Amino acid sequence: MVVGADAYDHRKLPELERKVADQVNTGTYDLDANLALLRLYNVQPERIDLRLVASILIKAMMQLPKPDFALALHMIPERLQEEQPVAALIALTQHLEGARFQKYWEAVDACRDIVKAVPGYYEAVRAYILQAIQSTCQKVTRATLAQSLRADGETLDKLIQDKVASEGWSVNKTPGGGAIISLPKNDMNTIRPPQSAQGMRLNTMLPMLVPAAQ
Amino acid sequence: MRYGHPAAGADSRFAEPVPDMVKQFVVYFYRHIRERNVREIHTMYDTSFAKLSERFYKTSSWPPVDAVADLVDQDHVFCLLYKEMYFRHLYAVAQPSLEQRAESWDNYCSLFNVVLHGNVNMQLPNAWLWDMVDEFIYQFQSFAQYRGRLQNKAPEELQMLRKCASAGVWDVLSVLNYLQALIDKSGVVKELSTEGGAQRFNETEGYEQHSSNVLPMVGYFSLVGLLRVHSLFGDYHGALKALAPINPFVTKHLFTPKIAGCNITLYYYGGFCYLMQRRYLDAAKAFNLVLSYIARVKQYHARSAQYDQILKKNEQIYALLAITTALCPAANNLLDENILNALQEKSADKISKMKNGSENAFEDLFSYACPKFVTAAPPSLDNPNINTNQEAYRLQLRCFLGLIHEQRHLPTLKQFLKLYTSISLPKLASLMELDEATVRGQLLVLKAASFCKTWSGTGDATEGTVHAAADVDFYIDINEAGTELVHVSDTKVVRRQGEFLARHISKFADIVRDLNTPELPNVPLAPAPMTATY
Repeated sequence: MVVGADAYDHRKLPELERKVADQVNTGTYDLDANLALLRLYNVQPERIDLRLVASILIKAMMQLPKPDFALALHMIPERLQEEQPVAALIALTQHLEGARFQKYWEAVDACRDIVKAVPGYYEAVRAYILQAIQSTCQKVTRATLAQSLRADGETLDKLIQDKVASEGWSVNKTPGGGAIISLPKNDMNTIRPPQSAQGMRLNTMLPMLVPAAQ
Repeated sequence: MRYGHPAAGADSRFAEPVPDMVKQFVVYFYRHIRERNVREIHTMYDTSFAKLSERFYKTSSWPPVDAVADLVDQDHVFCLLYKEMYFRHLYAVAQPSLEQRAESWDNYCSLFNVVLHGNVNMQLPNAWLWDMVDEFIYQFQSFAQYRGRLQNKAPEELQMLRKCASAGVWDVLSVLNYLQALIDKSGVVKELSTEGGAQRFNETEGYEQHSSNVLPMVGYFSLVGLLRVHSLFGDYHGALKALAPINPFVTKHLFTPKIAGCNITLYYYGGFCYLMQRRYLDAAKAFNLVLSYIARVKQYHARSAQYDQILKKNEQIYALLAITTALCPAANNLLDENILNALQEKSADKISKMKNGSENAFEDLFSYACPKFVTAAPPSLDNPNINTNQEAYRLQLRCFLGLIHEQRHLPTLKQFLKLYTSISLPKLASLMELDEATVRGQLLVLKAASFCKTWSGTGDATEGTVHAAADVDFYIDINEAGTELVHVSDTKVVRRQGEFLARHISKFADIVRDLNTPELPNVPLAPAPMTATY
């Protein structure tokens, strides 16, 4: 645990650095430890290890739609944000958060080497993209899915089949070889009933009920 | 530790005779502290000190501790406390020199070491203990700002800064470690988490018959202190995490409202952290709580030295609330009616500009209302031509405006959506003059922005569940012809008409009653007395 006094001890820096590497290798995630490392880097900028900063950012990107990437970014000096690979990772995240998925896939190729170093990266990004689509759409075309996920042919067929089995998707073929996929309804892709008016507090009504008290 | 030769001015001050009233103040102050007479200490601390400062030391510092030490038997702890007030007053009336900054740092270290390791038996007013923590952080922040401006510094000053750096003067990690050590040693975390602990703490206010309130209270205030220090570095998650034993939304046994400065700090920084974490509903809740608190208590502070600061924070918090409601209109539903009215009065046009996506409007309010960020790393003393103070602020502003820029199409999108109950994607795209894929993407962005993590009654303040925060509700469907359709429903929240009517009914009843009151004799008809009470 990196809490309390440990979080402010610069001797903990090597340990925190090892933790980042561990997270990459074991597919785990520890936001508190990562932010603690960035905090120590801020105090001693000469010790910044850019590769580890990149790992932290990639790991944070994999947590979307949580704001972890933004949280980390608030602690990374502007100068570094303009350097590679940090600048490229920022651009990738902006494409994802801005739902410009095609642009994202174009840009990610340039960073192939650094994101590949983090196992599970593409799976996490695809899961995020799917989650974004499922939160907005009740139906989606196969073509849109293909574009958003950069997957087609058998890969996409397999993904859709899996989802049909596990999450209740259903597929309707359309003339012309396309397909429309119905996504299950959830709290986000449906319209909520209007909120009903709340009751009134007794304190508010009291003056009206007891005019004699005045 | 000495950081240089005492300035000549200090010597001449030393020679100046200490006025009798001041001598008397010191003697009585010392006696009350020894006798653990909290009420008297508080009066002297709060009122007499300010009056004497006003009369004798309006533009200069109080007598150096050496000039009064003999009056108090050279009591070590009293001298530390005296110097604490001495430096606080000095920072308020003048620009402290580097040497004075370093001496004040040493004094805080000695004082906190006494609290941490000495066997302290004192009872001190809680307001003073809060001021200590608050001032400690303020002076740290002030030092960081001072250190960042290297351009105009003389070579000797740079030399002394080097010396300060190697002595760890106002060192970032030391500041954090002091606060953390005070928290750990005080046992306040455990006390607050045990059953009934928060209630007991709130009722006793740390004052127990046979023990000192100093360590428990300083530990408690340090939690709020850590929240602030982390916020100053842009570490918003760490800030709320450090605060965790105090949950600003569990107000039942919350102690902070008893100390105005502490309560305002808690909600200002807490709310700001929520805002930067995009937890808009929580931010609005925090701001709403503290704004109604300030409205309630500010009259009691009208004559205190903190009054101007309270008013300034009040305005800053309204500015942050304006940003919050512009980014998340659903947050309006959480505000009390009087807060909402005041917000409209103060910043209706700014809010509408922000709602139309004006980045300038966001930037104006952000720069006015944000904390004074500091850079954690010391500047390079070998390259004194740079000013690092702006760096920290620019970084936070850049991150914030990045988000605003990403959402710049949303206002237009919302305006169009609100005109329809269903609209085809191609038509929406042509209205917005964007291509279909982009508009579909923007709908996804709007959807994501319509939900935010919100504290839901369990766990500490960093936790929460995802809540809807939308002012327009929609989903994308595909019709039989294969066209994508956006179905829309305006989420009209029924405002609490009941409360509104109730308030006006009682206002009306007041007017009627006043009109019916028979005229008092001897009261001239015109002009009506301003302070008339009926």
